[in-house]
Amino acid sequence: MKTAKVKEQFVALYESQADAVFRFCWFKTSDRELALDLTQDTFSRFWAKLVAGETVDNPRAFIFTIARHAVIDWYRSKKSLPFNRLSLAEEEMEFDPPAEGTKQLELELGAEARLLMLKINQLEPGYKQVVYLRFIEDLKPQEIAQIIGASVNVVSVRITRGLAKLRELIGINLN
Amino acid sequence: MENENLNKIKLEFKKVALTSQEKELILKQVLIQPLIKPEPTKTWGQFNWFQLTVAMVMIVIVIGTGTSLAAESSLPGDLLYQIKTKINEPLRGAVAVSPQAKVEWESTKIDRRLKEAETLADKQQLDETKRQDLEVSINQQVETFGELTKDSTSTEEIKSSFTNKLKRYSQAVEERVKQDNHEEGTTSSQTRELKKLDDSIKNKVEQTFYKHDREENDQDGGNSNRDRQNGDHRRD
Repeated sequence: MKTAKVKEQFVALYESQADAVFRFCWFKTSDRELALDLTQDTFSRFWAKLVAGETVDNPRAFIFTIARHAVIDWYRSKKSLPFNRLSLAEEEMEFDPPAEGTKQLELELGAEARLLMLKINQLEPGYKQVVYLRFIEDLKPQEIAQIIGASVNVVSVRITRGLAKLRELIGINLN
Repeated sequence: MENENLNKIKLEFKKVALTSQEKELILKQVLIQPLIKPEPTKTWGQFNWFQLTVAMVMIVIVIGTGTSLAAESSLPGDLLYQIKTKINEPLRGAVAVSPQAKVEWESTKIDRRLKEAETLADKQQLDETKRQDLEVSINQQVETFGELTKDSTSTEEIKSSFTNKLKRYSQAVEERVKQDNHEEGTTSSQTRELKKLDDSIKNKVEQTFYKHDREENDQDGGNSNRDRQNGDHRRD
């Protein structure tokens, strides 16, 4: 049956991407438990779309898009203002992970990675995400553009500026 | 050299991952769960459906009320007249629950029609079609009024106020005829229409109550007939 094939594809994608998604959610929320929930949420939505028959060109980018929305929805529900009219972009700007969560993440990392993490978090909000996706997850600018809903140009500019700034902050050449 | 460093750092990062238990568990839960409906792409901000619905209902109520109020002063031929007769009046009719209230409402409706006729005449807008429409309405209302007051539970007060109303109208029409003749030497078309309306009402009233009289005669052997002749429906 077709569902079996779809399921197969899904499981394969899950196996390869779950960790990345989890990482990403943790990076965005600095809360491991929450990241677990969001990861599950992301893949639930993805599964639902596959079952509904949606075809996807770039599964990886698609999954990250869903993950990003899952994070944003969570932030919205946290605020729960009735007429919350923040645009998606503005909401990401507002996100500010609590300090302890970051420390928890850093404990899992070696010294240098920890430093990198710290510095990425010091970037401006619009740049954080883009640099993370480019540098850590090796996503292409087109893919990142799709994920965050901006133009490829904007993404490229942010990558360049973001990496330059990161270079400054760390003192490593990050090409 | 730097690239090696970078790769090292990246690999470090990628150590942040799910434990195999966590990974298994999540997969299981995703597949077991009843499916979340895939959400439509959110192009707007978060939609608060509840508040949108409330706002829309309020808008509809406000518009409806305003329109309904405006309709009250509308005349045959106006757009809002439909609202007056097909929405406002049925609504008020529905609210009139007691028999007394029903009778009064019928009477009031006739009032409204007569006023409409006179207002139209004043505006020189009363043509044959409109008059005929009013006629139909009034006839219906007279009939209904007759039905409702057939038995003796309706007060004399109501019945006499009804008759007086019609008499006043007749008199007003006579006044107009006189005035027209005085000023123009002939009756205007407006006044003529009003007169026709008046005649038709008289006919209808006679028909309706004469019919009742006959019915009662057949049942009663004549007593109530006498009552009626003494009391209410004077033809004049």
